[in-house]
Formats: sequence, C-alpha cells, structure tokens
Amino acid sequence: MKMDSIQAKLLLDRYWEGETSIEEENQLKEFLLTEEGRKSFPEASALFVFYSAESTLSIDESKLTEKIDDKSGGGSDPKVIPFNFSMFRKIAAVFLIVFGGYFVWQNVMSLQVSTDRIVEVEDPKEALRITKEALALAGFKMKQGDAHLKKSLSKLSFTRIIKHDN
Amino acid sequence: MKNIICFLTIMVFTVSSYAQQDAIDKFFQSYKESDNFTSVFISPKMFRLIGNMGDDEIDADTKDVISNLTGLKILSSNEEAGDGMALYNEAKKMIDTREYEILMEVRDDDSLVDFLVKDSNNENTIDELLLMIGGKEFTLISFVGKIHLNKIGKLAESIEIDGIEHLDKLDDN
Repeated sequence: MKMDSIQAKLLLDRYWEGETSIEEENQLKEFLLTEEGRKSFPEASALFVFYSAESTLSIDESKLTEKIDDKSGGGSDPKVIPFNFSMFRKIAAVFLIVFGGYFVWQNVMSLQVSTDRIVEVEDPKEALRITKEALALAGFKMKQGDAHLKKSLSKLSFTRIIKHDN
Repeated sequence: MKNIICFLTIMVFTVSSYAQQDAIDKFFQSYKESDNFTSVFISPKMFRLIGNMGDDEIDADTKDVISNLTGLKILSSNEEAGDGMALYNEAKKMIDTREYEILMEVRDDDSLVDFLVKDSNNENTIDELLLMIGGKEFTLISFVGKIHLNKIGKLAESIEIDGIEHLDKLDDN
C-alpha cells in the first residue's frame, strides 16, 4: 500500500507521540526516504535518513582489538616489575650507616666537649669544703622555704580566726 | 652487610644511652664556648676518700650525709654571663619534667630557687637533688646519691659557712 502525504502526516504525528507500531514506523520510514517524503517532510526525512545510515554501520571486532592492542603495548604479556627487596635493603643500610655514623660522631664530640670543660676536684679537703658549702646552701634555702611556708600558713590560720570571730 | 648493620645499631643505642645528659650537661652545652661559667665536678671516688677522713677532719653528721653521695656537679655563672634570672629561665626550660619532680620553689626579693628531685624508689631517700638558683647570678647544683632531705636541712644548721648566717638574719628582718 502506497502512502500519501496526508496519511504520512497522520502517522508522523502518532510517531512523535510514540503511538506507532513497528510496522507503521517501517511504512513511515519507506515514505520519508522517497522523493515525495523528502519534499513534504524535510526535517523528519533527514532524521530517518540518519537513522537508516546509522543502522548500516558495523564494527569490525578484530580491527578494534588490534587498535586497543596497539595502544596498550602490542598485545604482549604485561611487564611485571619485581620488587627488588635486596636493593632497598642496601639503600637502607647505606642510610643507616651514614646517619648512624653522624649521630655517633655528634654524641662523642659533645661528650668530649662536656668533660673537657668541667673541672674535677682532686683534693679531698677541697672536695669536702665545696660539698659542705653546697650542702649548706641547699639546707639554708630549704630552711628559707620552710620559713616562708610557715609564715604563709600562720597568715592563713589568722585569717580563719578573724572570720570565725566575725 | 648484616653484621655492619647490627654493629651500628648496637653502637647507636650504646652511645645514645651513654650520652644521656643531665640538666647541667644540657645547660653546659649551650654555653660551652663561654668563659663566664665555672663548673665543678666531684666524683664518686672523691666522696669515698672523704668518707675515709678521720673524725678530726669531718664531723659525724656531715660524714653521714656525704658518704651517701656519689656525685656533685656545680655550674655557676659570673656577672659577665648576663642576667641570672634569664639563665635560670633558660635552664628551667631544659629540665625534663618527666624526670624531675618539683619539691619546692623559694622566692625572694632578688632570687628564685627551685628544688627538683629525681626519685626512682619508694624509700625515704631521693636519687638526685637539683637546685636552680636564679638572681644576679645563676647557679645549678646537682647532688647525686642516696639523699635524705631531712639530714641536709639539719646539717645546714651545723655547718659554719661564712656569709650563710647573715643570709638567715636578713630573712628575719
């Protein structure tokens, strides 16, 4: 059955509404691909020409796979880079030696400086005199601290008595 | 290679433990180039020699305290070293508070004294008494050994040191 432009118009309206069947769509497609259809409905015809052209496209899977292989490295087995543990061990050992050596050197040097500058008392009488002075100073300051503490406590208790009296 | 690493690791730990510095050493390191500090060290051996002194040279109370000491270090600044209070504050920052406990803080008009103790046992003794005195000058004194604080307090009354008694009188005024 040949379709005229009026029937095509009605069918096209139903097509845009999504109410056409597959058979009706095929009929519409046939009409719009004709010369009359192109002239009557140029926009719809262009769309159906595009659909028709797209439906003929095919994918050559073998070529597609080749392209992917080309981009990913030629289809050979992927390279596995082994974790070179021994190399890292060597690097760690070198770091340890360098930093450890530096640390030891620093400490030994600082100890040398420290002991060089300290005067060691070698006379027991002089050592006794210095120790007694240091002990006396410590004791005196402790006594002073105790005195301050007692004074402060007595002030506190005095305040409490005044409050109690009031 | 393994042997070298093991040796070096042991070396590092040994030196680091040996190089653990006390407060005086730490402070001294800051001023090692300066001639404005005097430091005195009395070794355990010297304290043993003092302990062997006769009764005519040392009284019993002093001997009792000193025989339990194993070390004494004193670091003292002179006037040219600068403000003693500033040095005191600087030294205080270097004190490891996990190591030392503050026993007492005595404030005067012109000086500040901190008593710090190191105690590793539950006995009546302490392992180290550290005094930090800041004023016109700065002094750091570290007593190491088995120290009875009460005995030091009593001893101070019996030891006759020039000038100490005047300090006591000043306090009464």
